Amino acid sequence: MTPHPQLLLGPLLALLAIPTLAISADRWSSANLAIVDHHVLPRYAQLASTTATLAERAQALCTTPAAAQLEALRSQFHTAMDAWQGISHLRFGPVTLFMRNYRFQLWPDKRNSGERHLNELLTAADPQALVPDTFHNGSVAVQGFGALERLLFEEGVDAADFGSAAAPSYRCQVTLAVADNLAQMAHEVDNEWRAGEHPYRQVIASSADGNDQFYGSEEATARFLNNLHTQLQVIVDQKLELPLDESAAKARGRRAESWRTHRSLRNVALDLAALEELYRVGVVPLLQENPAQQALAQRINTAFATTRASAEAVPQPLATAVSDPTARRAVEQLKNATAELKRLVGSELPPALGLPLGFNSLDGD
Amino acid sequence: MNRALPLLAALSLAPTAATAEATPTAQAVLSHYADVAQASYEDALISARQLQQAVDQLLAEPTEPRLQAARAAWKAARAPYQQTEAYRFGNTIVDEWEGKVNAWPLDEGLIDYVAPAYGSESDENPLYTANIIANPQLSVAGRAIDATTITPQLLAESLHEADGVESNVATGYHAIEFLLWGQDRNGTGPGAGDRPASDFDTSHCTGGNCDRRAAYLKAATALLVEDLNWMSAQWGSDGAARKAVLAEPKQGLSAILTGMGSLSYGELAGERMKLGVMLHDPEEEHDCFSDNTHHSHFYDALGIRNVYTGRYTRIDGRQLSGPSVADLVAARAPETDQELRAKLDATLAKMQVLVDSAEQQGVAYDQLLAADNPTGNAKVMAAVEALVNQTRSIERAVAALELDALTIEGSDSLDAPEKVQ
Repeated sequence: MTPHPQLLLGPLLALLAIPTLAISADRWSSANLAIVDHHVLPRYAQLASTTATLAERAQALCTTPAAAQLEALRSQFHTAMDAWQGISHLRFGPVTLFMRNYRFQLWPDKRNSGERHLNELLTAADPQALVPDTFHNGSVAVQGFGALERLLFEEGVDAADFGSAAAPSYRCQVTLAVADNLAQMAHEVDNEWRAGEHPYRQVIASSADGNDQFYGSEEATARFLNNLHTQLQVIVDQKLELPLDESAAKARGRRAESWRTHRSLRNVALDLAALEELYRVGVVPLLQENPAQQALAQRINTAFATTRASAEAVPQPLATAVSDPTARRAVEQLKNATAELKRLVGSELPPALGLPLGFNSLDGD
Repeated sequence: MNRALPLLAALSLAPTAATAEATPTAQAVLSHYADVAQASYEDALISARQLQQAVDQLLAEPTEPRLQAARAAWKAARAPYQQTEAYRFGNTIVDEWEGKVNAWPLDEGLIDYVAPAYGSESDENPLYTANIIANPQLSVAGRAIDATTITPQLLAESLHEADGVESNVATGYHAIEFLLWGQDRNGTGPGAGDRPASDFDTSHCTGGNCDRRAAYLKAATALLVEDLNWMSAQWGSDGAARKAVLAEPKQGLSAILTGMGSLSYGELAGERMKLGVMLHDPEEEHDCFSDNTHHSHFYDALGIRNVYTGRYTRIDGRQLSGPSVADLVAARAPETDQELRAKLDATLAKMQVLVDSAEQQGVAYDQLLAADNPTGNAKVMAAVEALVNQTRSIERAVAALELDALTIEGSDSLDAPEKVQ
């Protein structure tokens, strides 16, 4: 049988091509460490410190349930959620252990599990359910930012719902359990990247020699690229398309992420800013090695700027903008701008870098 | 890039007869891929026809033994169908068609009566409790639907995904499953759905509207046979699916690996398995009425391995084997081929644990999801992790064949909304 010429020649051509296209293992490694040190670690540190404060304020509310304490906790909810939105795009490493990423935030929640499970928890009012070991192993739908948003911001909720100094309510205890859980997870993720016997930073740093997670340092770079692309898809398909639906008449504002706190667009803006930082810190230096890639780098820069401007142009909040014929056009413009950015990152960047994009965790039905 | 040296070493050995013989052309691989697809869909069709016979017998004489026989036929029909799922992602023609036969999850209140615990309304779905079987006149998005006569056409064209809601599943395996089993009202406790045969007995009817329920089951089963017949033909010698795969070798090879990776990762590991453990929710079980989920997942994993190795065992026991994408990967990067084969086997071993739990130990898949069953949760998560692991190796196979990102970004399924993380 004659071997297919293309298939045998392929590797040889690839070898010949290396001098012009390939990026050395050193450059992958330095891109990876730049991303870790200047993007990932500071952002997980921020998540750890803001959720620690969140837990302190939840404790203060349950010690003295009053309007001032509730307002302080609500304000810190936003600060901590900002930190989470700024690093939620990372989908490998410690945050994926014990399903932490889903425990931080289960969204979208197609089957309304958040509401069903939180109502069951509040109705049963079983103190045993809040014992940390039990709580951690229970439904993820009541463990994270989505549950906390319902507990603190549901219509009609005020300080009285959190009980009195003598007797904090079960709702307050659930709020505290969620805040403690977030702080604990953020502390663990932050710690596991930097410290302990096998810090994950070291797994990335040692990838050049191959290890049990990465064949080589380019595989770690490919993971970051994959996560960058996946999050752009999350913005297009979930954060924007789910509430947009087909038309203003059919729009579903309550499918918007964080609609109760009117921060759906703030989430998108934070996402985009974080993705742009990842791109600038890790990808731009790789593109700069090859003068032929300068045009692509410029197009991606422009696409980020266009997307950012489109996000700023949407009237707040997203949940009502989608049903308003005029405001809706601005949301569609943002969706289109993000989709174009996603196309550049998904279709043009991988061949330019010589990296595969890999499979996407969103792929499925 | 550090893969270059082993590749060079492999190439320097290329002139030996064994290596040359072992490396087929891409065209040969794709042709065999289409042959296995045709055989697999044909097996799904044959077993769906057997299901149809069993359903006819049940409706002619609605007794418990005949209901049991129909249920057994449904389970048997699932085995070959699930093995075809590795063809879904990557082949647009399959992906666009798949929702007719295997849409899931479903709001079963659309079809028939449900227990009070199901609830009476949903923000997401106005037809949450539309109950087609009890209601000859329906209203979908303000439009009147005459459902007096339940026909395959009515189900497929007017009621499936009615009002644009995906969980309005009026057709396919899971609609038939619901009709044969009824709701599983045992939560994460033991037991599956327990619909009595008399639900189809027009002279001693339970559940009401037995004539309409019988008509629904007959129509849905006929539709399944029709749809599988169509797909089987698409992989025939002049079929559109076969032509699409053979048109361009690189894209064809990409379709193979995209199908393997997307089913492994986002769909099976994510949507169908992980979510159930995270929520401890038996409604998140793929075959939730019949408690056949362990088999459905096992045969998905087997299908992925079939596609990679080019081997398939037909329902009559005949073996198919031929040039495979594994041969191509082995020629380029033998260590990647070995790694991927080992991971595909490891996944099947973890799936076998789920099968044994249900079949040997009497602990069904939904019981493994319970919050107070950490050992059960761990069994499911071990299979999830094995699927994620094999995805990483499939990516390495994609890289070894230099297929890079081309179809992964272009894959139809990637651009559909409402994906679960």
